Amino acid sequence: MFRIPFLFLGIGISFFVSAQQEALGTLTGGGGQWSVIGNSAAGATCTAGDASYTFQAKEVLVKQCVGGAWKSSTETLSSWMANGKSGIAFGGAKYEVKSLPAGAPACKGSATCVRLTTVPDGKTDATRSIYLTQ
Amino acid sequence: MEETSESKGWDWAKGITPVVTVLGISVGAWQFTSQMSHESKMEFARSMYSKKLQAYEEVGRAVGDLLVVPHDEQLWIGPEDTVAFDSCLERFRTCYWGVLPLVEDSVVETAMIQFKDMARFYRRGENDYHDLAREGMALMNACNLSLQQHWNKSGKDE
Repeated sequence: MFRIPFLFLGIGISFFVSAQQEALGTLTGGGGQWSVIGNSAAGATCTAGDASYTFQAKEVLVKQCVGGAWKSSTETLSSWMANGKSGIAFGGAKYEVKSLPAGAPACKGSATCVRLTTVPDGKTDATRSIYLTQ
Repeated sequence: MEETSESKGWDWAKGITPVVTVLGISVGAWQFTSQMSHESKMEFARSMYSKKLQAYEEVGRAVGDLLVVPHDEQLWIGPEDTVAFDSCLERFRTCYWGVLPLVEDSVVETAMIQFKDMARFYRRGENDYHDLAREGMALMNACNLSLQQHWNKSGKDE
C-alpha cells in the first residue's frame, strides 16, 4: 500500500542528494582551489577583486584582497535545496552553481569555468555572480 | 398603597422604553457601519486582485515576448536575435520596476529577479534556452500561485 509513495519519496531524496553532490563535486574536484576569473590569486601584493576559494567537503577557505593585502577566512560550507533548485551556502549567502561552457565570454577562454550566483534574499533586488576557474 | 406600586411600575416601563429604543438604534447603526466597513474591505481586496491580475498579465506578455525572440527556440542566442532580445529585456525591466512595488509578493519578486538574471545569462551565452524557458515557467507559476493565495485569502475574509 505504501510502496508507491515510498518509491516516489526515495526518488525525490535521491534527486535531492544527487543535485547537491553534483554542485559540491564540481567545486571540490581537482584540489578544490578556484580563483576569480580575470583576477590574480597569487603574489605577495594584490588588488581589489582578487580572491581565491578552496572548497572542501565541509568548509571553504576564502582568500580575499583587503587594502592591498591578502586576508584569509574559513567559512562553513553547506548545501541547500528549495523550489526545485539547489546549491551551496557559505559566508551568509546562498549560491547556485553552474558549470559554464568555455566559449562563454565571462570565462575568458578558461576551459574549467564555474559561476556562483547568489539567490535573492528578499532584502535587495541585486544578485551577485562570481566567475571562478581552476 | 396599591396605587403607588402601580404608578411605580408604569414609571419603570416609561423609563425603559427610550433606553431600549436608543439601544436598538445603536445596534442597528453599529451593524450598518460594520457591514459598510466589511464591504469596503472586500471592495479593496477585489480591486487589488484585479490590479494584480493586470500586472501579472503584463509580466506574462513580457516573458512571452522574451521567450519567442530566439528563432526556432535555438539553444544559444544568435547574433540576429540580440537586438530584439535586448529590446524585450528592456521592456521586461520596465515591467519589473513598474509591477514589483504594486504586487508586494516576495515569491513573485524572487522569481522576477531570477528570470531577469537568467535572461542576462542567456544573452551572454552562459545559459541555454531551456534554462531561460524554465525560469519563465517558474515565474508564471509564482504569479499563478500568488493570485490563488490572494483569492483564497479574500474568500476567507468574506
